[in-house]
Amino acid sequence: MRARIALGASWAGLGASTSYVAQRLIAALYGDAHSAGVIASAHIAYYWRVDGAILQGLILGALVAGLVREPERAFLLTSRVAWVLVPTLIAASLAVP
Amino acid sequence: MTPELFSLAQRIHGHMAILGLAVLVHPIVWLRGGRRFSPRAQWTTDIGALLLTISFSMGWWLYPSYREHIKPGLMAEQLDTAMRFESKEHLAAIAVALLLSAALTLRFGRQHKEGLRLAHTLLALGWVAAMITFVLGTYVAHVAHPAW
Repeated sequence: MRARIALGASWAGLGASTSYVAQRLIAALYGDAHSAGVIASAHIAYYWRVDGAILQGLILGALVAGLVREPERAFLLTSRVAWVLVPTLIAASLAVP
Repeated sequence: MTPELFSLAQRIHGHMAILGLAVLVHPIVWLRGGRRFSPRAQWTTDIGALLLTISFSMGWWLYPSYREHIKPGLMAEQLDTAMRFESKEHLAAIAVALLLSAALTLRFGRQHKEGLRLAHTLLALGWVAAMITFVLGTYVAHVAHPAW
């Protein structure tokens, strides 16, 4: 059970990071959602992006923790994914402010 | 928010970040390669992640004032610096997500060698993102302040 939680936590972090950058890149391409479409009175795109990223990361983490059968073996794969994914996310954040 | 309060909070925001970065050097060095664990490494990971999360939260608190009072002038006269600020915000979100997940992965996955290694990977990558955030933040802060 502890290994599943660890794996879920790691994917939650990777998922939230990826979701944030993906939202940002979509916003850079198509523009942020109009404030009237979210909450007209208190719309700051950055807040909504982070909130959405946290929610999506938590969902991904819960799914991974619940569905992966051998979490111990998945640790290694997750490390390899992180070494490719995170530098890509950092580069994208610097390239598309 | 008054300019004085903004300036004070901005400094605390930055100091919390560099403190968190310094604390995290311990677990990054200690856990290298996933070879060994110590309760102190867990503590420093938790404290470092917490410090950077508090710094990030302070950034959230400051952000509306930045948007209202600083960003318009910065966009008009120092566009490149304004863009660096945007990159800083993106990297901060990535760093905090990775560091919190690293602390949890270490707490729950430390019985497994690969779990330790994964926690170290997330810590190291999160630390790099946080360090770039700090460097960009320091650069932007020397230009963008309430007197801008």
